[in-house]
Amino acid sequence: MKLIQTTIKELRFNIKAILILALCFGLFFLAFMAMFDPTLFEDMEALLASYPEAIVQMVGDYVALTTFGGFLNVYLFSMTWFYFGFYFIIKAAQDIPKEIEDKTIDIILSKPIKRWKFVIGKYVKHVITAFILVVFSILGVLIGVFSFPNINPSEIYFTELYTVFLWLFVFLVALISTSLFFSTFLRPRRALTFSFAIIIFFYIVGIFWEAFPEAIQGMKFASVFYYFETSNLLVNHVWDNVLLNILILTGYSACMVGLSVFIFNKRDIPV
Amino acid sequence: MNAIEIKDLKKYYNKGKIKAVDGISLKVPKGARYGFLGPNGAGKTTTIRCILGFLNPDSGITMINGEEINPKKDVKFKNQIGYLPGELGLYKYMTADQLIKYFAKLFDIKIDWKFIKDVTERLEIEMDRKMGVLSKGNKQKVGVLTALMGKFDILIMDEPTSGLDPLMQSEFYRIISERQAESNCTVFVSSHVLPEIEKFCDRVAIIKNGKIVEVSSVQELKKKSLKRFELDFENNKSLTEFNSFLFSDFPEAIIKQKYQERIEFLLPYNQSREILQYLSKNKWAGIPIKDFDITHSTLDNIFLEYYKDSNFKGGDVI
Repeated sequence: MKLIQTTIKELRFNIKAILILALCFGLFFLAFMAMFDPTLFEDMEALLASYPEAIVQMVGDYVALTTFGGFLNVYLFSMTWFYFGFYFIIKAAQDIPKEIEDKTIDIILSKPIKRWKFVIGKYVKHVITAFILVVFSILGVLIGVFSFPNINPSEIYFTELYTVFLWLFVFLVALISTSLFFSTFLRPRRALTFSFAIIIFFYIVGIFWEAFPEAIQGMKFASVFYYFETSNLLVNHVWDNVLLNILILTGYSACMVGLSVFIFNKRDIPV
Repeated sequence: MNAIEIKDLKKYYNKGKIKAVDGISLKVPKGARYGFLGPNGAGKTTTIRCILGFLNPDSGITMINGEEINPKKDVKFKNQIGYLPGELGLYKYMTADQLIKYFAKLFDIKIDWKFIKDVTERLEIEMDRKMGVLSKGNKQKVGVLTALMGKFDILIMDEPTSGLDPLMQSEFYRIISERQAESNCTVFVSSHVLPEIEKFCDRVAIIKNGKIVEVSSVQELKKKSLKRFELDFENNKSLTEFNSFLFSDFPEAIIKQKYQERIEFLLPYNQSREILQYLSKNKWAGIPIKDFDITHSTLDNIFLEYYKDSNFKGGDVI
C-alpha cells in the first residue's frame, strides 16, 4: 500500500511532464515514419554498406534501409538508447541522491515506510515512465504505418514490431536499474557521472566487441547493449535468442534492483 | 515507563577517529518535556538520527515505549513518532495540504482536519501554496504541522523554532503544551535556544563531544549552578572593602560588573549560604549593605559552564 502511495505521489507530480515527453516521442516516431521511402533509401543503403564494419555496427549491424524493418532498425532502434536512455540515466541517477541532498528523505523515512519501498517506489515511477514513452512511440509508429502512403501495412511483421518495442522497454528498464544502482550510494553528480561512464562503457563493449582483441571479447557478455540487438529480428526475421536476451536483461535489472535495495538498506542517511 | 531509552549508543566515523556519539545512555520518561542541549557538532542530531534509523549505530540499544527496536529495520515504532528534522526539506512542488494528505497515507492515519485547521490558523500557514515559494519560516511552520498531524506518543523535534519569529515561537510552544496536556505525549526537543528550553522543558540532558555530561531537571540544574549576586553599598569605600574581602575569602567569585556603589558577581551555589551569613553579620567601612538581590543563573550560563575548558572556575559568563 505504501509502495503504491510512493509511486502514485512520484507519478502524480510528474505526469504532465511525462505525458508531454511521451507525446514528443510519439510525434518524433511518427515523423520518422513519414521519411520512409524504399526508393530514396536505395542509394543510402549502398553507401552505408560500403562503410567500415564498426560504423555499420553502430547503426544496427544489418543495413537494409529499403525494408521497413531495416529502416526502423537503423534509424530508431539502434539509436533509442540515445533518444530515451539519456533521459532515464539523468532522472534515475539523480532521484535518490537529490532527496538526500534536499533533505526531503528525512521527512519520508521518519514515517513508517520501509527503505526498500522508498527505492522501489522511485524505480517503479521510472519503469512506468519508460512504459508510457514506449507506448506513445508504438502509437506514433502505428499511426504512421496506417496513415502514410509510403508504407504498406501488409508488408509489416507486426508481431516482430511489438516484440522489438517490448525488448526496447526491457532494455530501458535495464538502463534505469543501472542508474538507480549508482543513485543509492553516490551523491547526485557522482551518480550521474558513474551512470554515464558505465553505460558508455557498456555501449562500447556491447557494440564494438568485435574490434577488441579476442582475449577480451568476452567482456561483451557484461554489457546490456549486447543483449539488445534488434537487427536480426527486424531485418532477417530470425527469432533466435530474442526471448533469451529479454530474459537476461530482465534478470540483470532484477539483480541491479536487488543490489540497490541491499545497499540502500545498509547505508547511512547523512545530515 | 520510558518513552525513549537508549543504552550505550555509539556512532563513530573514520574508523573510530571521529566519535560523533560516544556511549550515550538516556531515559526519557513518558510524558516528559525533555530538552537535549549541545552546540553544533556535539552529537544531538546524530543521536536523533540513530534513534530514527537514519544512521547505523556502531553499538547500543534503542527502546521506544519500553520495547527494544532495531531502528533501521523496524518501521512500526515510527507510527508513534512525530518528527521535525533540524534541516527541514519539503517537496518544492507540493502544497502543505498535499503534504499532509500524502503523509497521512504513509502513516495510515485519518486526518483530524479540525486540529489541522486550528494549527493552520494559529501559525498562519498557507495551505495552498507550494513549498518552493515559501520562506524558511513558513516552511518550518508546515514542518511543525506535519510533526503534529497525528496523535503521536512521542514528538522528536530538532531545533523546532528555527526560522520562526518570536510570536510564532510562543504560539508553537503553546500548541505543543496543549497537545501534551491533551494526550500526555512525550516531547523531546533538541535546541540551541536555551531560554525556550528553560521555559518549556522539565528535564534536560547536556551533550558534549558525543557524551552526556549532565542529565537533570531544569530546576536542579539551576540550583547546582552559579548564583548571581547584586549588592548595593552606601558608598564607594564600603564597596572597596567588600571587594577585597570577596577576593580573599571567595576566590571562586567572578565579578561581572562594578560601578559606583554596586557590584555584580557570580558564586557557586554551595557558597551562597556562607556569603549570605557574612553579608548579614558584617559591616563594610562601618556600614551594612544597602540592598541586595540574588538570582539563579539562566540555562545559558549553565550551558556555557559545561562548555568551558577544563580550567573553568565559574567563568566569565555573559
